[in-house]
Amino acid sequence: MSARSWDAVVVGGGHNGLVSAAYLARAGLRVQVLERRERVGGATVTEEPYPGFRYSVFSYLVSLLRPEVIHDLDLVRHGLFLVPLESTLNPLPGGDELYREADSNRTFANVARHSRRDAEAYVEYRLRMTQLAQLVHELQATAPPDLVDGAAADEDAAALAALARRYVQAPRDLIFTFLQALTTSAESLLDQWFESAPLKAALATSSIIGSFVSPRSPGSAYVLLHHYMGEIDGVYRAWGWQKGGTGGLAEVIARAARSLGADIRLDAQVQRVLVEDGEVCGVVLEDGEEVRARVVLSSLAPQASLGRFLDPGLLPEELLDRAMRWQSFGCSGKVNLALDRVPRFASRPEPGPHLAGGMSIAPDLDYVERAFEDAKYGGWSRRPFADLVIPSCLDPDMAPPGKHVMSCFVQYAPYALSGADWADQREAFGDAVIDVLEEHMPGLRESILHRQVLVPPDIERIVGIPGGNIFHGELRMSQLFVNRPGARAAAYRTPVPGYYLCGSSTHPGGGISGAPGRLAALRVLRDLDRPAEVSATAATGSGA
Amino acid sequence: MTARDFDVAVVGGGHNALVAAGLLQRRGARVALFEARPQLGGFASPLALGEGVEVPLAVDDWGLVRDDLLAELELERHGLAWAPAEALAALRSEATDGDADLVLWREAGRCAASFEQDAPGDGKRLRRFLAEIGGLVGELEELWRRPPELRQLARFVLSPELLRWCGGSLEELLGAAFDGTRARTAFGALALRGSAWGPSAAGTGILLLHQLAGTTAEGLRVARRPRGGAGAFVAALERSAADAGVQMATGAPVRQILVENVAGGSRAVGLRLANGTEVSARCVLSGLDRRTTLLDLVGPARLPVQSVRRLRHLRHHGVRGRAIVPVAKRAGPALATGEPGVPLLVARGLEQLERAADDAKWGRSSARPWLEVSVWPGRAGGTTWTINAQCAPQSGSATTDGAWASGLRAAIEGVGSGAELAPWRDLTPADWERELGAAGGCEHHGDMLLDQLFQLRGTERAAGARTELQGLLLCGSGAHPGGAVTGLPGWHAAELAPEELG
Repeated sequence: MSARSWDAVVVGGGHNGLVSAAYLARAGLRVQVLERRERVGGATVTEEPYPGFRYSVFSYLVSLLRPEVIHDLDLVRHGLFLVPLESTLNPLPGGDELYREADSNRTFANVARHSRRDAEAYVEYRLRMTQLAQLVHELQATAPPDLVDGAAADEDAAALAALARRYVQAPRDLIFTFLQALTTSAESLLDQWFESAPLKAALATSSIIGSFVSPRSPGSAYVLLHHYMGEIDGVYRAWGWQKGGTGGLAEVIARAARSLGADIRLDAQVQRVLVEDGEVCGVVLEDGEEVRARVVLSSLAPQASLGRFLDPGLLPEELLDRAMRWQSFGCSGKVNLALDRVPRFASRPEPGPHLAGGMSIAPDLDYVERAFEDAKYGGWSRRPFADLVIPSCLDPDMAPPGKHVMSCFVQYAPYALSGADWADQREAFGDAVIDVLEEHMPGLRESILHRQVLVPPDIERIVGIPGGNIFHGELRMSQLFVNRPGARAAAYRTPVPGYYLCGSSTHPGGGISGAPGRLAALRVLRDLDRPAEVSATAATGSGA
Repeated sequence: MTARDFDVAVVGGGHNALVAAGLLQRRGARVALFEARPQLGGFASPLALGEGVEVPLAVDDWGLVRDDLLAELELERHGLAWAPAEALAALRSEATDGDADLVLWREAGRCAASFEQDAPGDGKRLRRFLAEIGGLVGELEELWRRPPELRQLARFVLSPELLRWCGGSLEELLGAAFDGTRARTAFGALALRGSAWGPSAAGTGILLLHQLAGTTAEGLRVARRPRGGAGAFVAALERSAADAGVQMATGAPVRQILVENVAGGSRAVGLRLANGTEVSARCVLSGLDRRTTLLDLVGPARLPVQSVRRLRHLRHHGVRGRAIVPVAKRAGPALATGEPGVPLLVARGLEQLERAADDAKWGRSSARPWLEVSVWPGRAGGTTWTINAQCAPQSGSATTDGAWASGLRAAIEGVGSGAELAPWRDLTPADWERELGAAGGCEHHGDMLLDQLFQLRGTERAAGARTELQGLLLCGSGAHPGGAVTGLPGWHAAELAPEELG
């Protein structure tokens, strides 16, 4: 086995590593994926910590997966099966609620109960956000240029010029809002449309998911837009549940990669990248085994890819410093619950289709801001924000009959607590989450059979993302595009010939999109002079 | 075509308005300027305390004035001379005397030595910081001196460092730049003067770049005062304008900008003063902020709905309060520099700046404000201190806000331990709004983060000096490139006005 020689080694078998591997294999390369754990998926895994109860342990929804990845890798044939989430319920204090459903007339009426003006503006808002998502999509589908003396390298100049033309030709109003969305806070953006607190809060929650910001923080509007990129078969802002959980998705991509000829090796921890005469020639595993290849792609965060794996002398000092200071302190936790009955909301006591949608606890922006302030000074949120899904209502295989699993994505749980240790605080934080949920779902506490509380240090330990940040680094302007993860490493290449980056810490960033993995693979193929036939990305930007 | 009283009528007599008026008159236009207060200068005005003693009303920093752009005004000939200081600022982070202060010396070598002593390695880091900042502000200066355009975006997108500094937080950027807590705090405080944000907010990096314009690898930008007192800069601008022939009226508030319908929209044709006088002009310049100019003086009925929405949502969040403290004897604060021209920043760390911004966010005044202290000559051989404190109450003052009064008093006593303090007065954002007409009491005429800068310092329809109306330009801090005493917005308006004059 070790005698085999490879064209490419991909370090890390998360969804991006697998996407890269599949694209490379598809172009005829001999590809070896090396995954440290006993299963593929990285943060996209499904596990069964309690008999019969299965969880998407970390990431929990699929929405950002690029249509071109689905098509190029033929993922549907390999088992991609997305169940759309059709509604969002925001329970409010006093048994009130804001409910947005698939039926836009009913949503109009539900929003109008809080503000008639907002119900009208919501129609306009959704249209505008879809237009913005298309513009962002074009940016996200463009590989950041390799910069030579402050200008784009020739190979990237044409794509950049095309992007610039697209923006110059877009309507002026749209570009103005686009520039705002890239720079401002979610609150500032939403204030221009809406007046009612519940709707603003409900929409703003997308601006903080996985990010150490509040909806009032500058730059949070971009995170909102990043999540608006969710597109299933051309429909923007569509979220889906993969049958079998997100681990199911990793298995799907792994199957696609294997069917294209890639080999995936588990329980194989990479210790360092092998460099001879200034060029990459493979990797060394923990047990000393060498795996040789012409190119190496790392899907890990920069602290590992650029720090741990390489001899520091191989990189410019600035880049190494940048990698070590990479802002990737996670602030999101996950509380996975096993329930002996279906939860009932104060505002909707009877079971109904709302349980098969998303639910989130964020009654108003002040609530979220207070939760953020707790974390800003090194504490966990006394009254956390929570984004809920009940997978067993979407996919009965996830729990024994009559029982349920509930996934609670919660913020803020900062990686580093000041003056305290998560080992002592984890369950107290779990209690705070349950306290908040209980207010909106009376009786929930009694129905809990098992509770799993995961905080950023757990994500770091289990998945291996430094700081436990689910996006492999904050999605802020200083860490995007030509800065993701840093100058001279943003174009998927690194200063070491033959060594590439392909994970969420490269453009366009986190979320189960497969976009970084795809763009990295395309860069590698071009460098190896192995052009790949792939779907055009611009064609998918046409919207619903 | 009716005869116009003037070519250009200017609303307000702040320093930018004076710059624009003076430049245009010298370039051949007939200019009239109307200031509501009895004193010209706006935020850069002096405040007379009697017996010939004066301090600046609001702003103590003249180091950002772009001398080269104002050369035409011949300010030296009209009495302006600068007294440069050896340092940009000093930071005091604990209640000690001057010995423990960190001094931001102008000259790179001297500053590096002071940084090195504070945290080993920071001397070398300072030199790297200066080289990097020098390059960036050089690049930005080109953009600040040009009307904003969409294509400038490419500059940002292709410059990792520009993107990092304009999109990053002061906390992350200064954390990477320096090991020393005090170095981080000093630059953080310099940047956040007048800003409602805390250092952890993404995008606050650009505030520092604005403050450090003129910095090079050889040293920090200049710090200076006009010789002859706080009012000498405005006095020179006034003399220069008067000498050129600008007609200036003080105590003459403008109530309305007169507008006519013309082909393709509306056109500003003059002003109506509070006393009912109408002044016709071919072009109107407003030194007031964009919201006040367009919503109050023009009126929403004349504007596109979209613009009205944007103008209403521009953030103008004044946070800076100011105490003016006469000190009977020539006493403290003991200055490490020994130079009264160097402001003393008093802040214990970035966290204090952060918490002060949190207070502002919730509409409270800070119980523990951070300070910028400047020392001025006082009566009978004493001194006067001007103390800027953040964050001040949005409305109210030390007489109505007990927490603010006690926080400020404690802070002042902390700085001036042992000094004989005479009764002091305080000014807050409510005063800036009432006295100087700045929306929200915001000295920058609008928040200065990237979502309100360049192409976004305006509305969908108009940015830079331009407005929705033909014949109406902004010449104050609400226009590109923003606030502080620079003269840049006034110069931009003067550059653009000939187009409007036809």
